[in-house]
Amino acid sequence: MIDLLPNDEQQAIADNIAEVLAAEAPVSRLRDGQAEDTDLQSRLAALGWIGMGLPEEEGGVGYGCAEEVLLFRSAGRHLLGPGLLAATLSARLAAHAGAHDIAARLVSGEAVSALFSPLETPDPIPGISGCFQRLDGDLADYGIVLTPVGAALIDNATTPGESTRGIDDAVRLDRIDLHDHPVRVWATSTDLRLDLHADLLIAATLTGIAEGARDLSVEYAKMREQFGQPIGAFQAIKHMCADMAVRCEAAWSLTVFAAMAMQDGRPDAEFQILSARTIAEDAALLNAAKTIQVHGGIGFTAECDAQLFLKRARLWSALGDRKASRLHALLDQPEPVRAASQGTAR
Amino acid sequence: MEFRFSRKDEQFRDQVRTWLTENIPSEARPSDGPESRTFDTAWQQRQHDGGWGGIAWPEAYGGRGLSLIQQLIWHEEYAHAGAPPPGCMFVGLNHGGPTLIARGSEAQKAYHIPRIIRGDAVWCQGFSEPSSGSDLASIRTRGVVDGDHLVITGQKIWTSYGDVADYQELLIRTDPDAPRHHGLAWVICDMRLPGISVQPIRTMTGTTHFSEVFYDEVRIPLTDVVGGLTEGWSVAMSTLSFERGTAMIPHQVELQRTVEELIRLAGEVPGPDGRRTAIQDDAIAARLSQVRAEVAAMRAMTYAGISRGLRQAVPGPEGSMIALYFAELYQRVQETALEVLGPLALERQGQAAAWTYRYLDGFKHTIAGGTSEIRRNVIGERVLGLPRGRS
Repeated sequence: MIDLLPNDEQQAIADNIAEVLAAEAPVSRLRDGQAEDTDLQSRLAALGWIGMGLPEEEGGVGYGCAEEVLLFRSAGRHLLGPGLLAATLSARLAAHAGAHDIAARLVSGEAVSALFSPLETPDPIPGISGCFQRLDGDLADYGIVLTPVGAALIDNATTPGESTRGIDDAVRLDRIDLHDHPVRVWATSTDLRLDLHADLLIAATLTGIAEGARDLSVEYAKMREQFGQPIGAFQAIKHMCADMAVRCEAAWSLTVFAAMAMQDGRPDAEFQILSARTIAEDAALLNAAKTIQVHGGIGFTAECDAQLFLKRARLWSALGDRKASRLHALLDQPEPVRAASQGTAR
Repeated sequence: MEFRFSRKDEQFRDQVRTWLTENIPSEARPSDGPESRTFDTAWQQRQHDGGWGGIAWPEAYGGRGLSLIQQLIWHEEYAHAGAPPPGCMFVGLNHGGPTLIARGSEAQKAYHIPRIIRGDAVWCQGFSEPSSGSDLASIRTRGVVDGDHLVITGQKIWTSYGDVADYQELLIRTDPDAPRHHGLAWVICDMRLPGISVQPIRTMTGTTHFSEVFYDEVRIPLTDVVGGLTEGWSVAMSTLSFERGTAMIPHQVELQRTVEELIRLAGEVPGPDGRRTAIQDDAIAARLSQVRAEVAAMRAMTYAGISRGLRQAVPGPEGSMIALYFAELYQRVQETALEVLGPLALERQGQAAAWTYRYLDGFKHTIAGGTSEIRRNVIGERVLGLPRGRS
């Protein structure tokens, strides 16, 4: 069966997630330039969202990558902070390495994790050293660090970091220097491709941002009138919106295809995921920028939500591998093989 | 959400792959003229004899009636095997034939369908006119009833394969007083009738695969009108309902093969610094990787289109998004190719010939079959619900 669309159960999950986020996390909550509500994540954890893709034995819900990308797409559209990704990756790493207590605490929301994004490639185990940008990290119990050689779960730094104003006002940002910081849980990248999983969920997040920006533009274009008609009637505006829609369709189709490749353990999973992250990032950045343009003067102001989408898209695109190195990695990938004929190993 | 082929599908894929390996012509397809017709019709005959003549056509009409998944498999295997394009068989197989199946009389179907599917008859399309391109409903070629015939006077343009076709699906105005979309007729025009003259047009690639067609009081029997004397627009629209997401598959697979071939080429030809290969240049490598990702998106979008086709009987406007994405991506890929070739891109023979041809030919993709501008309008209005501009 070839089906990139959600089945009935998946659609129900997606609808439920959307309903919850519309009530708990409307985008308007970020308008005053305040940081994300720290209670929000524990409320979402209580719904089982952190353990969405973990097996039931690990305290998860037992769904797969398909359901995870549906969750993160919706999270992206509502500009949910990086805590959900940090917790999801941390729980997955802990579960994989057999640290079940830590996994359980992360899934329940009892423990919180923060993304530690390296400014330079950190020295690997036994202790992590390097300079990091920590996101929403001041109250976290753990930190998650992704390096080219593996993924590390660390206890959060006890000394405060150097607080920095970030491009995205809704995410608390500080700089942390780690010196031979002990690692709680470690998995090498030959053992667990947590970096690929992160790329997939970020692709889904960026797609949600691209779609949120598109919808903001379309709504405005239908409502705002100039020269006696809604501005969406003018081709310049209409075509900008059309291009946003095409970018979203490309990003989401590929994100779903990549999710299925990962879920099914296909040999081209890395190829598809690197491609999806690239396409989704382009979509989010361009759509957000053009949404400001569609909104005209209002788009430039702090009261317009367009700038929230732009800043969040920039935040995600600055994390992890830079685009240039990701494109390099994609070019190194072998050509995705065509479907095998009968009798050939899958 | 699922991407898995069943055991039966895999057996089918095997069958297709085997047949294609054993039957694809070894000679190259001539680019235009009567030799291309001979090649295209012979290949269609061979496919028909092998049972592959009309894979999407209902069995009652000599087709295979394949499921959408099987059509997907056929198209993917066909393109991966490098099988020749349908060429002048395209209009009959994808437009004329399906339209007759949907709206033709029994007599029209009985006569024309077997001839199309066996490769005995070649069709072309007479829709656009010099004054009617994007605004197709403004066509002026006139058909006046005279006894048992329609007398046609006017002109058509961009008629692909007009110089080698036997029949034409011809859209004409029968009632100039009716509202624009309502006074039209879709007729089967025998291209050998007196009063028809075909003038091939040379394109910027140097080939002549389409023509202008002039009609000077051409007498077409009323029995060759399909649908009704003023039903032409609805008959023309019924053609589109046949396509449920598979049209893009061959284009997407070919583009994927093109990009992979280009990556290999970039590892062979000298790069901008004259010492290392093109792929070792960072800017070229980034562009190659970018189009690789975009082609991957194109592939996923075609599968999304198939997914929609499996769920709904009538195709929605989302197809315009895939068509638009393909057209502009194709052009970006060909531009990247010329960048890779560097000074070799100046040549139209040897290693560069196929690339420079595809680069020039690529300009048609954002124009033919619906311009990018029209496609953006369709997406804006029918996918996003934005209001139409006031005329």
